[in-house]
Amino acid sequence: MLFNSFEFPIFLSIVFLLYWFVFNKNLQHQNLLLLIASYFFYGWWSWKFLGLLAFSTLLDFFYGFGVASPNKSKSKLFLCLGIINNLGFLAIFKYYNFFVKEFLYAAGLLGLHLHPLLIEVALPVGISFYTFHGMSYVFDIYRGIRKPVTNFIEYAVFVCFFPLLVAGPIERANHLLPQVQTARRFKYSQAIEGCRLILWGMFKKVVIADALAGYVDEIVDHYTVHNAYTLLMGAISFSFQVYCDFSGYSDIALGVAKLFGFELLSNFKFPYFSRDIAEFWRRWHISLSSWFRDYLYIPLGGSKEGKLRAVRNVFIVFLVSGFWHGASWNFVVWGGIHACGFLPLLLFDRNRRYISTIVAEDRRFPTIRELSQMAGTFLFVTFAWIFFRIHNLGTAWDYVKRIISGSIRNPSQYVSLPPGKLILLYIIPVLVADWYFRRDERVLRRLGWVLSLAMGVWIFFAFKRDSSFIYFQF
Amino acid sequence: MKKFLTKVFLYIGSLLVIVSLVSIYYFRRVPNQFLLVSNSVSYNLKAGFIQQQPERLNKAEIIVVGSSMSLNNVSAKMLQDSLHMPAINLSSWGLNIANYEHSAIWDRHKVFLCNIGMPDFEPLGVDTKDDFSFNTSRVREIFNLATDFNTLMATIKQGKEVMAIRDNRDYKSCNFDECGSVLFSDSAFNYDSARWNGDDYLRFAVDSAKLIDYVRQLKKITTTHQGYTRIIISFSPGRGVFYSQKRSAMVAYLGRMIRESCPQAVFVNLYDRHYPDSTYADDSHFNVIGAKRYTAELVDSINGLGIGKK
Repeated sequence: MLFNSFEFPIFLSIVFLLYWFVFNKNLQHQNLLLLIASYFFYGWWSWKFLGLLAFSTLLDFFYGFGVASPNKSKSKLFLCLGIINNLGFLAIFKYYNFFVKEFLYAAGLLGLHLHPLLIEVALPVGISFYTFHGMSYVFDIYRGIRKPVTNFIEYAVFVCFFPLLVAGPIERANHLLPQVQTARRFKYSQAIEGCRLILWGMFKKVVIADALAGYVDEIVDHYTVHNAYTLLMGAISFSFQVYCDFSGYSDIALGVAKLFGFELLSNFKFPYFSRDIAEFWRRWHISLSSWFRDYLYIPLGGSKEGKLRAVRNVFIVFLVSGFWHGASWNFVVWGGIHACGFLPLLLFDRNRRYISTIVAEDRRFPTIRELSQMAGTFLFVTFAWIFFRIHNLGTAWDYVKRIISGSIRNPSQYVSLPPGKLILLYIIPVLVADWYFRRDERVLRRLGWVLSLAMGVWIFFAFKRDSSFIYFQF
Repeated sequence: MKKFLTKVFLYIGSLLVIVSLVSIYYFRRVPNQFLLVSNSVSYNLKAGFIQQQPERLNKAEIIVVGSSMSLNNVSAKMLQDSLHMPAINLSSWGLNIANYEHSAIWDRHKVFLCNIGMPDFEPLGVDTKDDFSFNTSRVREIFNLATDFNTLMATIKQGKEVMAIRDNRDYKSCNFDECGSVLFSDSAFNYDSARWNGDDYLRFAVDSAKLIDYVRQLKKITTTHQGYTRIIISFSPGRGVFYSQKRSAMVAYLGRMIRESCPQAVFVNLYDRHYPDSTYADDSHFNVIGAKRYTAELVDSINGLGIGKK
């Protein structure tokens, strides 16, 4: 079930009313309701993969007890089983065909013609997210950060709580499980804040991302007939499309969770106001980048074992992170580009310059220097997005070359509105809003009645039935 | 909780009132001959045109189908007068042969003419809900709107566009003649330099895979439906500046495939004909002069098939 579908508001209303009016007396009943609702939500897309979700959840639940064993070797064994299991599911359902095809290609180069089995199944939605939930759980137990959960329903709600089930944020056991285990009380301010987040997320997705998607598709699909200016506008449009699409989803997820008394991890913090790539990755898809930091980068040694090791670790994390997005080389290249952008900062010890501050924190406008830093970072990120959007590497590179060497004199022949003006029209509200949010995220509270209604009307008229979220494919 | 629910209901109620008022305002301005049966304003107007005179479709012996390449390049009126057979043009913007797959119009014992060109290889964009029955009701239209069309905004935009489609001096003209064709004016025409210089062959990346797909769709129709008398597929030329041997060879290849895969269909290849720029409205659509000259060539070809009446 998609957040932006006719069914979702009906589903949400029913679950909300049952949750607060029928099952409100007993925490276990509330959790059971959330579990059933989450499975229903997931099964609406494909009931066939419910078994996989349940099986994966069950395995991690039991591995948790093994990992918690005082016997170190037994603990390590179960940790390995947990990792192998989760990565195994990913390997089978997400990466198997990719590896087989690459192997066949390599074998073909050597003159071998093999016919191995290819799995013709759709990628289970959310598999990259719920397997990472499971892994974070066993990791945290192994590191002694938390104890295993004894109630299966509580654990299952942590793994598949419907707002975050298909596209995150990737929650940590330490953050979400205590909330699942504690009685929730309805708070008016939290619920209203949730509604505002849902509205803002919907606006970003339905009004901005979906509108930009049409133009991006038009430009990318026919990129050979467009001039450099249009291609650049197409790339910039995609930067905002992917941001509004994914952050819109995250906002809706956070908002829906608030309606049930949960606080989820924030996934975005105005990434396009970052002053360098390191800051960008502290603000973009935060739950994933911090996951990789805690469960991959630091265990690999982080930056504590010399520069060479740190460089290696950074590349591993970015390449794996790219590959996490999809079984295709373009995502690996995308990760590699970001690693290359991060590298100089790491080498000159400048990657931790902007850890706690936000640009122009106590000023209304940025300085020229900050502005150029943000523009530089944004252009770099936009360049990398080209490789994210276009799956064929040759086509992506050709697209880049045409931006650099093509004519910029004539506006596009085929995009019905001058692309520059159109993009400004859609991007300005997001930039303005994010600029205010950057100092105080509570500014959403000032969203008045008139503005909220205007946004609602706009969403209603712009609503498209068959529009999915970009990150669903991961 | 009570305060929260009151606020939410108040918000949703206000939202519905505003949306209803805006929708009613726009739909009241839409003329009668506009039916909400697709996401294409051109098709919706054509559906309204047919619904108001169903006898024309019933009596027609030649039915022109297809995209704007049929709508603007073929004069159904001229076919009717020259072949002495009642004719009607059912085509509208962006319709592809695949759109007609489930239509019952093929079972009418008629001659069908589908004129195509390079723009016909664009991806499907029109979503028709009446399967070319050209019959609907207001209830059905509201149901279509609620369940199928992409956005309410897009549909409202259609309503606004309808007001602008009045004469034949613009590409957006849906000013049908008595047989349903739209022939662009040759004087004071609102030329669009981007369209004039555009190259649909490049834009839609026409390649052999797309030609094969087209033939596959045609084959599906010719094997599924048996009631028609003849299907004629003709291929229009484009402005001379875009002509090349390679493109000509591709069109000839399409013709060969149609002859091999769909023996019931006749392919008329007029792609190699040279028409001066003064006969065009853009890179591939004719103005009234070009359309009449082109239709005359089609009449000769149809007569050559022994279809016309003396």
